[in-house]
Amino acid sequence: MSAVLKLTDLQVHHDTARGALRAVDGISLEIARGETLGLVGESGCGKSTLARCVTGIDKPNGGSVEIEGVTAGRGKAARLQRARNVQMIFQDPSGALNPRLQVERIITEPLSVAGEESRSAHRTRAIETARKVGLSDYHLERMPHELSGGQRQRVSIARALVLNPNLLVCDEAVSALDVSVQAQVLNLLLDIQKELGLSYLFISHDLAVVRYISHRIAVMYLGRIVEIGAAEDVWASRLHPYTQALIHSIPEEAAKTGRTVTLEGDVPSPVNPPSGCAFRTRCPFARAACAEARPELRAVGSHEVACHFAEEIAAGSGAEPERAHG
Amino acid sequence: MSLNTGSEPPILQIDKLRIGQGTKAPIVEQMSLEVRRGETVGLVGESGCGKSLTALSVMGLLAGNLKVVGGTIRLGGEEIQGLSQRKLRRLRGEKMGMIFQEPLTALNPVMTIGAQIAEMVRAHRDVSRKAAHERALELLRLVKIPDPEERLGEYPHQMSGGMRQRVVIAMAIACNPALLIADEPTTALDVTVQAQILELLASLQREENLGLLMITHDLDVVRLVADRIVVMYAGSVVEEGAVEAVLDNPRHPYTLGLISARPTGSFAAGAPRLADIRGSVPAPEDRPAGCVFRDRCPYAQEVCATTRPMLETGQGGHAVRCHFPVDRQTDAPKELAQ
Amino acid sequence: MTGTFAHIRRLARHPSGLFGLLLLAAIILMSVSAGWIFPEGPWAMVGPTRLHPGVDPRFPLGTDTYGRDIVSAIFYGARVSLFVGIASAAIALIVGIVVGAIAGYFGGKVDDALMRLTDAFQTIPNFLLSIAIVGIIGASLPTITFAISIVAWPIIARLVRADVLRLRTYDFVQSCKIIGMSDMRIVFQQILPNCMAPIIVTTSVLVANAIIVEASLAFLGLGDPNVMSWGTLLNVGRQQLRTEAYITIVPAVALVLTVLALNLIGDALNDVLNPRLKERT
Repeated sequence: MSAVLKLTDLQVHHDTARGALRAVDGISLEIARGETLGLVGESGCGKSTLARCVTGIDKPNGGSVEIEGVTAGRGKAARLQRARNVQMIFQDPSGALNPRLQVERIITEPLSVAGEESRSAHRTRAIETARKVGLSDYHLERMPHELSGGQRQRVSIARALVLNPNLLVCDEAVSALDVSVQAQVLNLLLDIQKELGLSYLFISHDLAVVRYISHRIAVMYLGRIVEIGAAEDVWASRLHPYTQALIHSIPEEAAKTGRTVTLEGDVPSPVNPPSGCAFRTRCPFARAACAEARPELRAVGSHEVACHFAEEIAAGSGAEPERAHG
Repeated sequence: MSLNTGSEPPILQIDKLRIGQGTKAPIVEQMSLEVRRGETVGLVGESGCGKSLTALSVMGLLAGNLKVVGGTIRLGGEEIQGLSQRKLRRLRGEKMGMIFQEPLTALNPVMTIGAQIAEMVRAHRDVSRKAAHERALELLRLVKIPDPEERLGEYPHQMSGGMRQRVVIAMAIACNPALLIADEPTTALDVTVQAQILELLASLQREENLGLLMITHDLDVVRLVADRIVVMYAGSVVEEGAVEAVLDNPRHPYTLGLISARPTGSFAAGAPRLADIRGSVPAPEDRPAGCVFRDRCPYAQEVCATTRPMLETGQGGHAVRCHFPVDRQTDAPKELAQ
Repeated sequence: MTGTFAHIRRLARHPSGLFGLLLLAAIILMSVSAGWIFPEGPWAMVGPTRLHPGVDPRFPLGTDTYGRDIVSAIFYGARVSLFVGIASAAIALIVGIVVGAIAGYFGGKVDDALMRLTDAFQTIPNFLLSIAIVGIIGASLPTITFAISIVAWPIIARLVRADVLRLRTYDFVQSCKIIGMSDMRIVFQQILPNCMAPIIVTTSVLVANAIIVEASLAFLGLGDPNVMSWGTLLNVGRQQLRTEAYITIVPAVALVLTVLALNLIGDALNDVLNPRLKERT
């Protein structure tokens, strides 16, 4: 099975006043056809930068982005080719639509940029795509500000779908929506995936949502993947201490265990990350060895994890150290 | 649970509050709510339901031409409507404090946090500069900021989001208020930091015997920290009661919808489709007659279009505003689960 | 462009906006009709010299020291004022928008270079540069227009840059990049229409400013000698200020009313194009 997306040792550095920031620091992953890869992590972990690299907004400093087996290049032809394969849905449904353009124009913009078909064909395609996402002809004639948040997000999805891409990058695509609307959009994403055989790179800080929609989950911390595997696997047998902490921090899980605080402090600055394992400064299991060598992703049990002591932690998962009561 | 029973008036008592904008349809109406000392009340609802406006009206901070056009707001038994701005300002800080969603905008970017907290203290207490500084230090310790002496001299932009929110909390409790209002205090924060802040709020509430009104869209947060829950929809309360009672056995179709809309489990591993609530929240001027929820409700019948249901209290103080309250124990939510 | 039409209607409902619009309409009418009403031109000596206003019904505002009709001079002067105002504002707009949009969108070194250039032009004293340019190249309407616009465009450039800088981070711009839209199309078709409001408001001020500078140059005798400007009349009146003050007062009033009209329209546009701002107060 060929991968729709293949990242190999992807590196993205930003120059800041305090030095180079390694937003994405050597990430390799694949997404298969029809598969959803959920990407979770806290703000600043590099998940949005990764998305921008996949869609071509940012250019990587190293490594490669392969889409449908073709290494993504630059230049006009490569850009248009990428646009046909990869599209993106954003977090803020109001910022994602040009407030001055009618919905129909917003949806068909990708067609006209791609130089596709005649104007009259655009209208047909707009209606067709709008129906797919649960909008009617009525909505096509509206301006973005006349629509509700959920409808705007549907317009975003329609615009992303109009070129029939194979991969949709969803960057916090449901995070700004109310719970009831969020459910509508998640259902819609599942429906169109089934109908069109789409792949998703689904980025979110909301673990419950990621768990629900993903086939596989990757957990990112300071620009690197610390754990990756099948969704239910990662959720059930969470091997990396960071994955454990993330899941324990969800209010729903905390209500079950009665323990809220699992991690002290904040994510360290990515400009000057800790030596060795970047997570060690917050890790309840950290030892001297963690400061020396950086753990690489390796297969442990059914999935991959980047932790020196994953086996020990897995074996003694009942005997997690009790945190000093915060 | 509530520590004092009845003898003392609730620290916050909102009754039939109406908030309107000029001559337009009221945004909040028939809003009633009580918070007692020592209890945490979770006020939940989706954006536009009026939960934040309710909080702002309590603080006397309604902006623009938004006004309280009816009802009463009592703070410790005292009506605050019609108080002068000066008196209101005294009440804010002394009797109630507020925490906002975005800590960065709640802090002055050009003042050190020590100076900001000290100023807050001196605005309400006649104390020396030195005493105010001591109090600021004490407060930073109370909200568990590491190295408080050093942090006093820092500016907001030098701190992380979680630390800033702690500073905002410190300022809110600087004058030992009896009531703390937290409007989505953790929404802008990462999940691990959210957990820290929720824990802090819960422990402060216990230690200082505060009445805590926690406004959030997240039912799980409410389950974690609150004793009672109040669910708002389109400007009024649709259900309220003890957290377990309401979340485990929701009676209003809207509450049930909110609970069922949250994803649990993995779809790929067999979890069911999410139960969404059809349509979206109507704007104040588009709210339907009768029951405001009826055009999104799977159980709506004719009477729902004509008669507005009252908030009726059942056993254990579990109140619901619905002609046909659901009962999860007897009838499964078929329509919603489709 | 139903939006534009709606804006004009709202402008007409705005009390001071309506007054400004009516004034401006009158001035435009004057400049358009000047050729028909006064076919002999503003320079013709058509009556007795120094005729005070109200004395001879043929010359309601009197005549100047050469016996030229002041009404005619005001009508033709309106042409000059409007031409210089609109032409220099147009040049400033084009240069300012292009420079500002490119600086704001591309950022980095391009932005640095363009903004230093903008700074350089903005620090030059407006009026002194105009005098210098007119002095070097010679006085003609195109030169004066050029001299005025060369100092005016940095204001627009800064305005546009700030807005483009803000808008380029919006997700709708990102999505245009993803669909492979060219940078030029993103800037001019997607971003610019979203930052027109402050530009339009500022333009009305630019036009007013240009009119004042042109009149000032003419007043100093540095105006285009071949056209009758309100400044020309002011210059003539200067020598007779004690005895024939009306020669100065009439063009001065015309100038004040024109600038007033433009400022009123600018303020009204500000309210109309930023309705949210108005609701808050």
